[in-house]
Amino acid sequence: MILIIVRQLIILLLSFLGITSVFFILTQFLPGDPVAVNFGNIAKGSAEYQQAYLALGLDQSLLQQYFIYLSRIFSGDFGYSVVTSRPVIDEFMTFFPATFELALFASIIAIVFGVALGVLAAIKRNTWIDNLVMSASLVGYSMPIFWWGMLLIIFFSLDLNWTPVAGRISYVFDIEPRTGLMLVDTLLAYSKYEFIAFFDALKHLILPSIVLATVPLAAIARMTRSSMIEVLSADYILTARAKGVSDWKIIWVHGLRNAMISLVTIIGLQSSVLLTGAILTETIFAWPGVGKWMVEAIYRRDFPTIQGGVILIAFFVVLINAAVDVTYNIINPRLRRRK
Amino acid sequence: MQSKITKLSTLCSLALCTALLLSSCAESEIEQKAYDNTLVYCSEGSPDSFDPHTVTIGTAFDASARQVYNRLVEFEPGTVEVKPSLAEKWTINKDGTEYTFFLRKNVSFHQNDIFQPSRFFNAEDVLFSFSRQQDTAHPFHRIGNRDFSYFNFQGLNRLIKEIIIVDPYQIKFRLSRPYSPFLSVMAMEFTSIMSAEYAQVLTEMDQKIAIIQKPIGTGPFRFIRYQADAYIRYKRHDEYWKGSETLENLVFAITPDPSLRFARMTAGECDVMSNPLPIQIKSLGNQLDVKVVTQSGLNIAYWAFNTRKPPLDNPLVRRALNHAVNRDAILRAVYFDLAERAKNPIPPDMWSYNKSVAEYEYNPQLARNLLFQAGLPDGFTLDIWAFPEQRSYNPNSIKTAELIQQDLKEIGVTARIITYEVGTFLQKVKLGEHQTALQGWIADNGDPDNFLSSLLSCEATIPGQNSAFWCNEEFDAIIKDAQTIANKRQRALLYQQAQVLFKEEAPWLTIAHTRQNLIINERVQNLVLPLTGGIFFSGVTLAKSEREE
Repeated sequence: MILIIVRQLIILLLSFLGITSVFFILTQFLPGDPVAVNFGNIAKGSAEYQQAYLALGLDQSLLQQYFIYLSRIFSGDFGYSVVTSRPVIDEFMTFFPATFELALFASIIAIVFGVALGVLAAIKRNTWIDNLVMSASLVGYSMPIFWWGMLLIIFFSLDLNWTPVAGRISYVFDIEPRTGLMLVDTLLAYSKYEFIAFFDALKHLILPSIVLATVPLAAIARMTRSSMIEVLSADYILTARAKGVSDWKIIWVHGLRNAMISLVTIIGLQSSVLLTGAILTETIFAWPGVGKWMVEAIYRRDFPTIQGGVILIAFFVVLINAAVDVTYNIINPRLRRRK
Repeated sequence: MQSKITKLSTLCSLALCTALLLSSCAESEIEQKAYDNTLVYCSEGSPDSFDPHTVTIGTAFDASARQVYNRLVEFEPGTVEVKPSLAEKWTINKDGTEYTFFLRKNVSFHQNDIFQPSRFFNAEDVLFSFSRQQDTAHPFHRIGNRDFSYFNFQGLNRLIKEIIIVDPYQIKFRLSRPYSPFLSVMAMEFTSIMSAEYAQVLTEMDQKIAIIQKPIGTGPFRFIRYQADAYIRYKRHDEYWKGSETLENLVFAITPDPSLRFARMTAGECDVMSNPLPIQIKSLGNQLDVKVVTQSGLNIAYWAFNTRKPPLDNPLVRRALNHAVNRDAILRAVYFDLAERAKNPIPPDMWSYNKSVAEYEYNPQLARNLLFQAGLPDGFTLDIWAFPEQRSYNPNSIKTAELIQQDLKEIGVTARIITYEVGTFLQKVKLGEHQTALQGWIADNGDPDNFLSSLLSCEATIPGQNSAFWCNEEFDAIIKDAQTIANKRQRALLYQQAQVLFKEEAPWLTIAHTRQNLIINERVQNLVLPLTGGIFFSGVTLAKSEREE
């Protein structure tokens, strides 16, 4: 067990080094003055410029510059936003909770409904239910989500008036961002608004999380179906059936548990899909998360923010995948025994 | 087994529906109260800073200068008449080179979590707000690494010779030359007054940057919180010197996408929506709870002829082009009839506007005759540079260029449409590489000088905003004269003369003056749009109304 974690940590470290070196090499190709790229417009020849120049190690060799860059990143210094003059890491931390909240809800929807639909399709293999679920998932998988998002807004928000159009909460509520997670913050403001603000925040989460969940949900449903079918045709299921184990137990205990092993990897891989999908979803719903933050930074040519933001997002994807690998090792008895 | 699966999925969907139902039922007194006290403004973008001295775009002025700060003088709402604000009155010496402002007493600054003002506003604050912009060695000059674009563009860096504090409530500006638009300039947002005491406190705390992130002003609303790309929250300033506002909370809901903004507006999520598209205004039609607020804007869209490039150096050719274009068709197709045809380089709401100037009517035959007189019976070829982005004065320059192209074909002129990315476009036009260009201008202040000098003076040709590179000695002498005269009526006469000359020489084809539009909820009252653009929420009230869900 410890060996697995140690191995994962080493892989993690290597991936971080890989990401940072790719980035370092890429920034070498950026046009313009490296000082301007990292610190924004500082008059050439000023003391400030000189200071920035030395801080980047531009008077030293490329290899030394790389080490300076690494030490900056590992001490959490991702530079300053050219637009807001705030540290990039601080900006990231203000936007990340919104994305986290959205992604968490979307994952729950994707996993619960994806697995349920996949199992349903596997049991009803080759019936109209199976066909319906599979065609729907194919549509969901290939649908442009910005179109889907707008469709939902038009129908549920504008026509039916059930859900709000955009944002995380109605602005009539003054919620202080303590944790950055709106559901938690609204509960912390209970004395002021009781549960009203909380429900309002929940209502704001529905459409964006459905939209963000669509693609992973479809992928998970399809994967669940195929691995369930494989597992259900295995000999031990036949044995269990022969022994008179109930259908319920066969599916949920013997079937799904074994199918889950390959599913965990797929779910892990969907984390990067969730983060890229967040960019579109957040833009559609004016959701102030990292995706929208990145898009705005690109519009504003805010290079330090783009650089820092992309590295931080890459770190997260690597981290999630490492966590998934560890989980995979834990739940897969075959791998567990290899130790 | 199957029934159990079905049960499970039913349960799941039931849970979701309950959540939906519960939340839409959560209507109560608390929510109604919050709703009645809060105005939500769906704005078009995040401000790039809260520093009124360095920002240049309207979005940022809306978020800072127009709610949080005051100036020494201000424009009477809905007009361009200068009236007292933080300065109760002022005197100007005979030469017009010394302006003495007598400051208002008992004006209090805002407070926030790191600052508690210990004194009222005084001359120190005025001095701080101007030295910060002028003195490159000032400790707050380089905060945020931003340029003082407006201060320099208006020439104040050269114009202001010194600022003298006579006593705590009297301050004197010495100018290097007489400059009659000075008072109008002092009403512009970039002259907002900051607190010198706040600056001092921040210096002690080593948090100078907070001056542009947590603004402290004397204005009607106090800044509470900003979350980039999400919202800006303000609360009324209870000790506001004009008397505290009735509106308690003001929130800017940042929504850059115009369709989403419109959706939010129609769903009742915002009370005021900025920059609606012409098509959205048209589609509102019979909706009962929202309406359009409109105000003529101080702006102009024009087609500039580079008078340094033949054959455009010949006034006959320029007049021919003026007669050749059917501007009413442009107003219909590009502006959806929501703009006014322009005759003069300044808009009709600006003082000194000359109504009696003779207009060039659309007449292709006359245009052909003029070309014949100019020795170009077979026409010629012409480049039209079209501005690449949407602007409030022209929603679609390329379409405008295409319509002009069609009209020119009628008189035998072959036109080519050229466009570049914004930065390159502006750069090249500044250097005079274009033959003709579709351009526009929005007033910075209510003074005609802001149009006539900035866009048509000889000085503005070396490189400046004069994209016609038109330098007419007579015209130039008139507007220079007008700058030194304090009497408004005399100035107006000079400007009217200048407009006649402009029209005769025809360095531009004047196209349109657009209106500024906002969509507002019916409960929003007393919202007056300023002529110089932007939005002020001071004085706005909310009518009590049942919230519909």
